[in-house]
Amino acid sequence: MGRLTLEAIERRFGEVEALCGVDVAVEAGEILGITGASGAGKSTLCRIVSGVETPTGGEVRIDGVPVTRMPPERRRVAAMFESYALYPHLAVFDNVAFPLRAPGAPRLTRAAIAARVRELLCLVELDGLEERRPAELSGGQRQRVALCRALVQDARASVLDEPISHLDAKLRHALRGTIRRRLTRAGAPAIWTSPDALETMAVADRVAVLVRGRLRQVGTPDDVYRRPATLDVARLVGDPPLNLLRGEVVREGGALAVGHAGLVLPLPASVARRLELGDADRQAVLGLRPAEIALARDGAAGVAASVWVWEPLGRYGILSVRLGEDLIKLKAPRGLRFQPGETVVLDFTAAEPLLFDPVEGAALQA
Amino acid sequence: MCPDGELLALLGPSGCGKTSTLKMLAGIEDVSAGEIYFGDRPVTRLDAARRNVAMVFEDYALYPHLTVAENIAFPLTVRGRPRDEVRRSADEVIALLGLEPFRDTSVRLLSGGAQQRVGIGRALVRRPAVILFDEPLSHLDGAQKSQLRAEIKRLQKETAVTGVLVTHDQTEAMAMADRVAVMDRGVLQQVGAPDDLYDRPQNLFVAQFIGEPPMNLLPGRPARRGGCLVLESAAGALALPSAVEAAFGATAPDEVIIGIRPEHLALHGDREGPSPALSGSVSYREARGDTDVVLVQIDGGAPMPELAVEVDREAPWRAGDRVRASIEDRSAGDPGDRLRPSAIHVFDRDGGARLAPPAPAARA
Repeated sequence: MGRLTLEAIERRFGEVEALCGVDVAVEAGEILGITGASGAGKSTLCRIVSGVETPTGGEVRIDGVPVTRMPPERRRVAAMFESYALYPHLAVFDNVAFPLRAPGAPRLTRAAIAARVRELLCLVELDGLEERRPAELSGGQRQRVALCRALVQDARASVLDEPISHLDAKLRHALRGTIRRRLTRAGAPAIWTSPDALETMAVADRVAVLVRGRLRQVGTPDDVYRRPATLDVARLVGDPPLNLLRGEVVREGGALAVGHAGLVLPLPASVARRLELGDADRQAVLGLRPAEIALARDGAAGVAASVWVWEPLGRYGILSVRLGEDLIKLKAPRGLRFQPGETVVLDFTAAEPLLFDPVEGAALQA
Repeated sequence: MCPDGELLALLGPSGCGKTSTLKMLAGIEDVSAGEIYFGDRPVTRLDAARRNVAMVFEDYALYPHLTVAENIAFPLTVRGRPRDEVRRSADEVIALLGLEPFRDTSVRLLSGGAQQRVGIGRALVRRPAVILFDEPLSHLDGAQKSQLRAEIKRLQKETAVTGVLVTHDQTEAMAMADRVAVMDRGVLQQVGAPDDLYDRPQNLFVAQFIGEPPMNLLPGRPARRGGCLVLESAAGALALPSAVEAAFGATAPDEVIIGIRPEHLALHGDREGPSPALSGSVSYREARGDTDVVLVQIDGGAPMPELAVEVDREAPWRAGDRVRASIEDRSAGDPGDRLRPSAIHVFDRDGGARLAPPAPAARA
C-alpha cells in the first residue's frame, strides 16, 4: 500500500480560485483530517482525489504514480461524498454492494459480498433496513449507507467527505471508532473532512486546515489546537474557539507584557523569545483560551465583567461575558447558574496568551 | 408544557417524532388525539395562519432576490400593514440582531450565520405567540454555530418570546434551552433542566443520549466483598461507592447496569490504583483540545465494552498501554471523598429505568 500525494493542486472556476497550491502527503495507514469552513474547498479537494473532478493544475499521485487524469473507476479510490450520491432505484443492500459488483472490482462470491455488506450495515446500526430504498430513509440513515459503500471496498485510498456530521452525539462517538478501526486496518491512506475541527482532531493522525482554498496549517491535533499558525486557524478550532482581542505589547518592568483594556498579562516564554524590548507599543491580536480564564473566588482580585449568556453543557458550561466592547467566552465549572447582566470577576492568572500579527495574521510565538 | 417566555428543546435521534411534534404545533400536521394550548387558548383545530406561530427553518428559507430589510419586513408587508409601521418594526429587529451594516444587502451575499440571523428576524418581527426553531444551526460551521447558539439564547431571553427548538444535537439543546424534552420513537423519555438530565437521567436512553462521549455502561451484579460494595461483572470486579447501597433499600437488585461518565473514571498503571478495578488495554487516544479521551478495551474479548475515560493532556496513556480503570469523581476536592455516589448511575437491567442514586425533588 502506498502514500497519497497532492502536489500544488489548483482548481479554478473562471476567476474564482477554489483551491490553490495544496501540497500534502498522506502515508499508508494514516488518516489526514481536513477541516475548514463551508466553501473552503474541502469537497472540491475530495472530488479531485477521487477523480470525479480534474484540477486545473498540480498532480495527484498514489504510490508515486500520477493518477490526476485517470478516470475514477480505474483509480480504486473509495469515496463518500457529502451529498451521499446514493442510487435511488437500488435498495440499501445493493447500494452498499455496488462497488463490489462493479466491473474491474476483484471478484467475490455472492456469499462473501453479502457477508461484507451485512457486517458493515450492522456496525452502523442499519441492520434490518437492507431492503429499503434511499427515499424511505432519514438523512442520517442515508449518510450511513453512503459511508458503508465507501468502507466496503478494498481501495488504494479512502476519501470521506463529512462522514458523520449530521448524526447525533452517541452515534458519532460509536462511528468515530468504527470507521477509524476499519481505515487503519485497511492500511491505505485516508482523508476525513469535517467543518468541526474537534472531530478531525479526535480521529486523525494529522489535521490540515483549509482556508479559502489554501492550506494554512498541517500538523498534529495538538499543534493546531495549542499552536495555531494563523488567526484563520485560531478562529476555526475549539468550541468555543480562542477569544481574539485587539491588544498591545507593553513594557512592564524590564520585560514585555501584553495589554488589553486595562488587563495586562505576562507574555509566555515562547512569545517573549521572539520579541525584544523595542517591540513595545506593537499592536497585536491576543488569543485567550476559554479554558484558561477562570472565575475568581469570592472576594479575590480580578477583572470585573458582565454576564451576557450562560450555556450549561453538562460536563461544563460556556459563559459569555462582556468586557468593555468585547465578548469573551470561558469554560466554567458545571452546576452554576448565572443571570444576564450579573457581574462576575475573571481570573486570568492561568492564561497563556497567544499573539498574532494584526495585519498578516501570522502567529508571533515560535 | 412550555411556560411563557421559556425555550423548550425537543431532542432525539432522527425518526423520534420531534419534527412531527413541531409541525403539529405549527398547524401543518394534524393531531390524531390530544390538545395543544397556547396560553389558555386551544389551537389544535386552528389552521396554521391563525395560530400566530413563527418558524425558523434549517435551510433559512429566505427570499433570495430580496434584501435583509425586505426579508425581515416580508411578514408585515404581505399582511398589508402601513408602510411606517413596517419600517419601524423591521428597523427595531435589525438593530436587535446587529444587522444594520447589511440592511440593504441582498441575502444571497451573506454567510450562513448571517442568513439565519435574518431568518430569526423575520420570525421576531411578527411578535408571534411562539417561535419554532427547526434545527436552526445544522447548516453552520463550528465557529458560527457556537456564536449563533449563544446569540439565539440571549435574544430569546431579551425578547422573552416563548420558543420551541427541535434538534438532534444534544450540545445545542443543552446550551440553548431552559428545559429539554428527550424523545425516542415517538415517546417522551424525560423533561428537565439541562443539568438535571446530565446528573439524573431517568433511563438508559437519556443516559446515553446526553453527554459526549456518551456514558459508559457496565452490566453486572452488586455484591459485598470484604466490607466494600463492588460490581461483579463479566469483566471482573469494580469497587462502587458504598453510599449507593442505601439507595437500593432492602431489596438490592440482582442484575443492574452501572452507568459511569468518562470524567468519573480514572486510569492507573498495570499494578497500581485502588482495588478492585477493571483491567484492559488502551485502544486509542482521542485528542479533544483541553482534555483527551482514552478508549480502553476491557479484557475479556469482543462482548466487553470499550470504556471512554477523560484524561488530562499530561496523562501518559498511549495506544497499547496496559491500564486499570476505577471510579473516581475528580471534581471532589478531597481525594478520600472521590468514590462519591454522584459518580455512578444505577439502572434496571430490564427496562433500563433509573434505580439509584434517587432523583432529587423537582426544582421549581
